[in-house]
Amino acid sequence: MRKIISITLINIILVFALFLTACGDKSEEKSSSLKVGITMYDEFDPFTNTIADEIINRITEIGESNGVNATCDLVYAGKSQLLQNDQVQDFIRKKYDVICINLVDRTDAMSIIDMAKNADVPIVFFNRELVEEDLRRWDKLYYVGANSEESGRMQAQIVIDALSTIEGRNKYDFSQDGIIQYVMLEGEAGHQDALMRTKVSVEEIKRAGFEMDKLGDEIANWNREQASTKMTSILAGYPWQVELVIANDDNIALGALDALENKGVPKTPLIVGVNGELEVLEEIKKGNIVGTVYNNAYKQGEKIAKMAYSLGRGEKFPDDITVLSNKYVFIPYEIINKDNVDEYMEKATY
Amino acid sequence: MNKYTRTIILSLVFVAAVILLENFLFRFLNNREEKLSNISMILFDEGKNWDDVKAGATQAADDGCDINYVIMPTGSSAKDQFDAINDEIERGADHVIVAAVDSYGLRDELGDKYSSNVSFVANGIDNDKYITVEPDNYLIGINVGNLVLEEEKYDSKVVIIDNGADKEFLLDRIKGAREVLGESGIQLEIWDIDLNETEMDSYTEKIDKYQPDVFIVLNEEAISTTIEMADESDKPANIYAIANSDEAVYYLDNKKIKYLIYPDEFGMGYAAVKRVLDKNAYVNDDFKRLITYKVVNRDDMYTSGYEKVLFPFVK
Amino acid sequence: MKNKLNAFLNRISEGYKQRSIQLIISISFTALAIISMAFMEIMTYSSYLNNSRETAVESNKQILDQVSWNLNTYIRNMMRISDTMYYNVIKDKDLTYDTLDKEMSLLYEANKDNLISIACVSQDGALIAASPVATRKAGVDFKKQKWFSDAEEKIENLHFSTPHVQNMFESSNYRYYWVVSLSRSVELTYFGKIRQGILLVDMNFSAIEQMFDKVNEQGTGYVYLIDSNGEIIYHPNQKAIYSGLETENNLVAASYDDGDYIETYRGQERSVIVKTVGYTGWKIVSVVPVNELAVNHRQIRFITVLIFTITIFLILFGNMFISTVVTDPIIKLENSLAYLESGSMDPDNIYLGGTHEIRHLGRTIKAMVRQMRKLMDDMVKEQEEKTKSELDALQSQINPHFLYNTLDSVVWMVESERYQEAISMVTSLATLFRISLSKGNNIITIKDEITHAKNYMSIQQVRFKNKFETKIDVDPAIMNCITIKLIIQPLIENAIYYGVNNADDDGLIEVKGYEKDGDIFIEVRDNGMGIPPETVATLLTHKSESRGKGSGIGLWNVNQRINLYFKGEYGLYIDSELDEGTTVTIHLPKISYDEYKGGLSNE
Repeated sequence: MRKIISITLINIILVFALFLTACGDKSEEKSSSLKVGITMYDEFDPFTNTIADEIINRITEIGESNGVNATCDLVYAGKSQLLQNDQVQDFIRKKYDVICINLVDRTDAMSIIDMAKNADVPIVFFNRELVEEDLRRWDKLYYVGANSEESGRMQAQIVIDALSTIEGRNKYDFSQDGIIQYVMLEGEAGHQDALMRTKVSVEEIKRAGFEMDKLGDEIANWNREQASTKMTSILAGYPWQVELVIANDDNIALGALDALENKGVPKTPLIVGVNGELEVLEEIKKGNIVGTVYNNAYKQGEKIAKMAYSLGRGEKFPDDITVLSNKYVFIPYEIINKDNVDEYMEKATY
Repeated sequence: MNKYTRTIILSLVFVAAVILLENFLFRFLNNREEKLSNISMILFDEGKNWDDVKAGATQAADDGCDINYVIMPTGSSAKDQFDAINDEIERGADHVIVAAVDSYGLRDELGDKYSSNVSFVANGIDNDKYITVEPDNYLIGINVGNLVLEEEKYDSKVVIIDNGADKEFLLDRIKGAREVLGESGIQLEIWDIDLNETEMDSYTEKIDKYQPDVFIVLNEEAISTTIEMADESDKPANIYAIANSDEAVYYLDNKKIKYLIYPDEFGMGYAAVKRVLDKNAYVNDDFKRLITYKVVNRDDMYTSGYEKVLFPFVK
Repeated sequence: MKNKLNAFLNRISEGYKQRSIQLIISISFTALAIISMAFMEIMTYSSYLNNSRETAVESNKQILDQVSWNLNTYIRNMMRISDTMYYNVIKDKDLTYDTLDKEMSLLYEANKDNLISIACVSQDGALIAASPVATRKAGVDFKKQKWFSDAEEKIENLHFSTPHVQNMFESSNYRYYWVVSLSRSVELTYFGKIRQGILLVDMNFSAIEQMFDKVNEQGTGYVYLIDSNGEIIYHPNQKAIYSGLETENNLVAASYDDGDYIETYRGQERSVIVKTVGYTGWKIVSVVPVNELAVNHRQIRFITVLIFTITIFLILFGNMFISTVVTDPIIKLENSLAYLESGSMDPDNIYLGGTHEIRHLGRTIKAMVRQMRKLMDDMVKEQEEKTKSELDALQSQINPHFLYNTLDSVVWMVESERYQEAISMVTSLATLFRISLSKGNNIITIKDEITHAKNYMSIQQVRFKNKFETKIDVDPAIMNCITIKLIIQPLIENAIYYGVNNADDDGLIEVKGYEKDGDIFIEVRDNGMGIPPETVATLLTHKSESRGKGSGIGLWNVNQRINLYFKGEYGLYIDSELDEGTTVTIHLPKISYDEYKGGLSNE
């Protein structure tokens, strides 16, 4: 009987051996390489595209100087959060070291954060800001952007400066009633920049002592044509009364300008945008647009690249990166108006 | 006791044999199903839009193999590309598909030795030993020539914009166009254009002096420059372009280009990879017939046959 | 050659015969195990295959249903937008002084994930309102576009176009949109009067594409979408199809009704499921190559090999087990029996082991053997005992008195200085006793027996002072035959003491030996007083007491001995007449000493 037991044991062991060999082989991992995934909310936004290009360039640079084979993979989410979630899942599955995300829907970051946390893949969000509660759910989530409140204030500043002289006031107060009739053209429903800029710009102008009267408030989805359409329909109701157009960004500002030129208004109102696009700079030079707020895509790209590199390699951030509350890295805005527009025109590519 | 020992040993040997056999069978069967796992694609010039080729290649690969895309920087030489090819092979690529930077230079570098694991797409090296997946560029040239003859006045001044004389596919196109146009009464000139912006002024001068009626642009990198130049000039000119990019389609839509000849680059990428994976995928490897091109103008653009090719991606 | 073959076959059949039980059981068990395992495996495998195929088709059907549901929802949604725009907005407004912009913009914003644009166009192709972008593209004639002409043709329906690139509005970058146009004819109110127009809702085709992409990512096979004519609306490989590099069986699929089919296309067998989407007449087609239906080849293969291996183990195992417990013991027991057959009666050689029944057999055989052995032993012992006791008994009847008396005579002779007679007496006595003992042999030759008788007689003659005469006449031919010892001497003794001793005449004792009828007769005759008839009768039947003067071996004794040994009718006869004499006859078989010796060695 003992023999029979020992034979049984041997049988069982052999069966296990069979089992183990039948179960796949292991694949090998490479180290000393860095895989960065980048997903953008829309491929047609030149501003965010500049950031993305800058990230890619910088990462390649840093990788080369450190002897690390750093590669970037850029995908576009076509404005679909679902698609972006899939893209992130794909990056995680393919064992990317770090992911840079330009969120489609800033209120819907849950699934991405969960996936990243479970797989221990750090994320640098940028340009489209998610709520702080979500950002705090894990310690390897960061946001790089610009302080939207600042941009609103700077927009207000541009307007205030333009209206600070008597000359300026006269020029732009078409109705001569001491009240500024303005049109607000917003970026996107729920977007943090849009919300802040809309609110803060008007507040600051009012605080400077100006009275304001809103003639129209439309959403233009950061799109020139849409802005133009909305502006046109507003102009249909107020053909000459609009004294100030506050645009949440430069595309919208240009669209508004298009509408105004199309309509052929007698006097062009104050138009102020944000970003610092080349075409707007040209219009500033021409005098059609009073100013814009420079959003330094290059600096943002650079910071994101450095952070992504460090996170992906498990190293500390370089010293030139200051992180607020362990989460936020903000690049300061700069005012562009007629006085300094030339400097910016030189560097602009978007 | 002996009888038992014998049985144990026998059963051990037997099971070991079964395990080994099963594993071998398994590996063998799996290997049969497994195709090449690693293809590299080395494409010339970052200035050109390779999205369609890459999309076609990726579609054909379809999880069956990995494709690594390498885009040579602008101004690379044949030697640079040859080095890149060797790098990829060393890196473990089973096959390299190349769009040659410099057809004749690369032909010299490669010789005949690499014909089993190198093939060409879009631009070959004029060597029959290598598979080249591209449309019949000579025929394209002829078609363009005929088109110009049909559409334009008989005494028009035609300028062919040449940018990159060291690429075989461009030379073929020139040859075709030349053949048709040379015979006719049309005054034909071929201008070699450097896309460097600093040269722009000299071109503007040239245009003012020559006052061409028709520009034939053979490759898409030169399109925007040509359009700019044509815009600057006072005389309106018709532009015929051979290109495969959203930009070109946009220009066509905006009437900056009169006619667009659009080679099926998606098909090129697709067929190139499929041919590597399956030797018998295409009868006679007759790519010159297989890869098509469309001749479109503004009116036809949005008809169903053309728009599917001109607007390949749903965004 | 043939011999060798025969020898070989013989060996096999010998071996077969020898291991018959083991072989039968082994083969039966192995065959049974293999057959039943194989059967089970085949059944499992094919039922698994069938099941997994069915399951795969089922799950594909479910996926198809899901996609269909999603697509339906999507389309319904678009239709609802169109309805809302029409019934809740356009119908209410008089476009002479009112605009559609606000509402259109609102509807767009609320649905912008799936919409590209909403537009209202007049009968002449003029753009009345559009959202989000209202700048019309230069040089585009709406009337020439299909959505327009379709809506115009049939004004009572909603029309779904096939996907196409939107060619209506200005765009500042290279952006283009693939859309599916939903158009309908609407009544526009101007100054209270009705004019015809077209309401166009352009659905974002990428939403449809994403729906299908998601499904196509997972699992085997793929799903594509065609319109009622079979034109491909979406196919995962559509670009390659448009390039002319791949083909699909879409035209045939369009002819199928809803349901699942098996078709062969380009040499590959595939399972095709078709489901029609409501209202549009579009069909969703799912294609799975048949050989991919049974998923998890790897797992099946693994399980198959596992089962196979386990089966082999079980077989070997089972065989060994049965061997140990059943057949080996039987064989061992059988071997013990063979041993037994050879005559070894050793009960401890019997094998005890195996199952209860075999043990029982063993035990029984062992007991039997023990029994047998004991019986045999008993028998032998009995025999020995018997013979021994008899002989002992017989032998012990040699009278010591004879010895004393004879020795007395010898002493007297020596005292009388009759040395020669003394020597002769002692010698005769020695010889007498020699024969009497005869080295323990019971059987001697007649010669020796006569010699013994002679010696005895000579001794007695001396003692009885030649009171009688003796005469011995034996046929020399029987001298070499056997007889039991000490049968003549007692007769002579009787003749002396009861015959001639008290007679006055010269006594005469005659010993006569002859062959007659193949047997041997030895007579001892005396002419003495004779024996009374009543005594004759009892002499042979009763063991008489020794009378003290002879050797003590009585007639009964002699008769018993002869009869015991030779059996049958051999023995003594007594014939006596009072005052005349007595003749006692010994009847023996005729067996030569050589025969007797031969018979001994044969035993």
